[in-house]
Amino acid sequence: MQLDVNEVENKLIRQIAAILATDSQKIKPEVPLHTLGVDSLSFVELLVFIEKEFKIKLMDSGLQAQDFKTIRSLAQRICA
Amino acid sequence: MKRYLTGIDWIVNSIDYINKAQSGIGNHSELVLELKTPPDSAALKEALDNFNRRFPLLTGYPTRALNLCPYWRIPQQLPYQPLRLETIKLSPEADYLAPLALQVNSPFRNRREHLIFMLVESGQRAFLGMVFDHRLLDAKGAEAFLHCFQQFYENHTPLQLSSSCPSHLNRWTQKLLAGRQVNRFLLRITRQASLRTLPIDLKREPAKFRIIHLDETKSQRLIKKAYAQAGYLMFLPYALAKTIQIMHKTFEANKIPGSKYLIPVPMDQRNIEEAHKESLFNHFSFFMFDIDASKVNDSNWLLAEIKKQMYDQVKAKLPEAILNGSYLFRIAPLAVTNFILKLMSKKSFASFAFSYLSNTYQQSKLLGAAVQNIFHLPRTPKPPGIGVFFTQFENKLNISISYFEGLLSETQIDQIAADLEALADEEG
Repeated sequence: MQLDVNEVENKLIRQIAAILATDSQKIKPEVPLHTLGVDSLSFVELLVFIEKEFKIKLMDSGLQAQDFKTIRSLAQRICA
Repeated sequence: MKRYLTGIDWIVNSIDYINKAQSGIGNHSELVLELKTPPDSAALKEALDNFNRRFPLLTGYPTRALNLCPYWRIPQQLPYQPLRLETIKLSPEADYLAPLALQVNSPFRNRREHLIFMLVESGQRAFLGMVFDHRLLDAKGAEAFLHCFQQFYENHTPLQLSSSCPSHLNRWTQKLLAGRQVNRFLLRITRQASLRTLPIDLKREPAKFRIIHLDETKSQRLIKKAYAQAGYLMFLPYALAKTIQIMHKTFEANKIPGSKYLIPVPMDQRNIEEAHKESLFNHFSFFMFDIDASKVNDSNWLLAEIKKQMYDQVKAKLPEAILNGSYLFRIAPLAVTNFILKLMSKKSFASFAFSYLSNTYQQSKLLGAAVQNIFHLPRTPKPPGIGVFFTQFENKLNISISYFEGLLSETQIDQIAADLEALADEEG
């Protein structure tokens, strides 16, 4: 099934807002996750969500910053 | 007035009870703010007094309601009890840590005292220590509490320190299922192999500390290294892996028997704003890392294993199960909980303690004095009696080693401190 990057981005934004207990309007897809307040624990929570939602397990992938630093790059990684 | 205690609150109360039975000193820690200049101690005393009068629950104490649920009694009628503030002036070259460590190793004067402040003036700079009772504040809560204190001082606006908590005398099926999940997990990790722990004299005091302050350059280098080796945002798994390897060297040198390490890591799922709103009482849960001692020197395996266990526990909602299941403990009086935990602690649940806490105090000043750094002096409960604690303030990392006298030689503690500090070196 082909995933749409914008749709994935929106789902990630909603989930990050839920994890950080914040308003999804405040979350911009091009901003690095650590500046949003995402830490090791909340990042792992996000990766668990990605596995459940998109059936992709990313924890073993090396988690290189260029693929995971922003919601945009993460959405592209999921859709690749 | 009352504030019901959660299951985790009750476990913390039990640890406090056990600590007092062992040594007369409860489950305390100290949070220390390094200030660029000493604040006016009279103004500080007055500000603390105003704050204390505004929140009588700060001088409350635990008791049990008619529905058998433990709660924190918030005194309305009892005589006012002021907060203690001690001021010490040291010469710039004197050891500022000694009086702060002495303070955290002292008992509170009565059941209503849960906070003691100490201002250490050392030349141009100063250190404000807040010894806190873990029954009232957890480590993240302590930073949030001082953040709120500064906010109260600056704004003089009515500040809400939330003290409400329902009795949670419902959803028993959910709690029983959570308890079963935790019990099965603990049985699995404690039955399979023997755990490595340092031999500890439960009566031995005091707790001692080494603090490693990493400057901004070293801290950022260490974080960058963690992201490169463990992955983006994976500082906690990286710091834990390196700490296990460093502690492993000492365990090997002391020929400690056993085939694995068990490390409980407290974790708090609240974001900073939530922590500021609900700074009081305990809101953390745990990860439990179960590490095969024979494979510890393989860095790639160790990092992958820690990340796998963290992922699996989040996926299985183990931290939530610990929170929910711990409510079942509340029915037991402290003496009974003490007995159960003593039985459990014969087969200890921890090789050493570890935690990582970042940036919960978010004020640049305290009473007009610029905050330069923040670090913690936690008295690690016995067993295991030794722990390594990473904290971050702004872009700087601090590492605290807390241990009880006699557990390891001072030379070995020096070596652990040197190895931890070397993590931020350019090589390695």
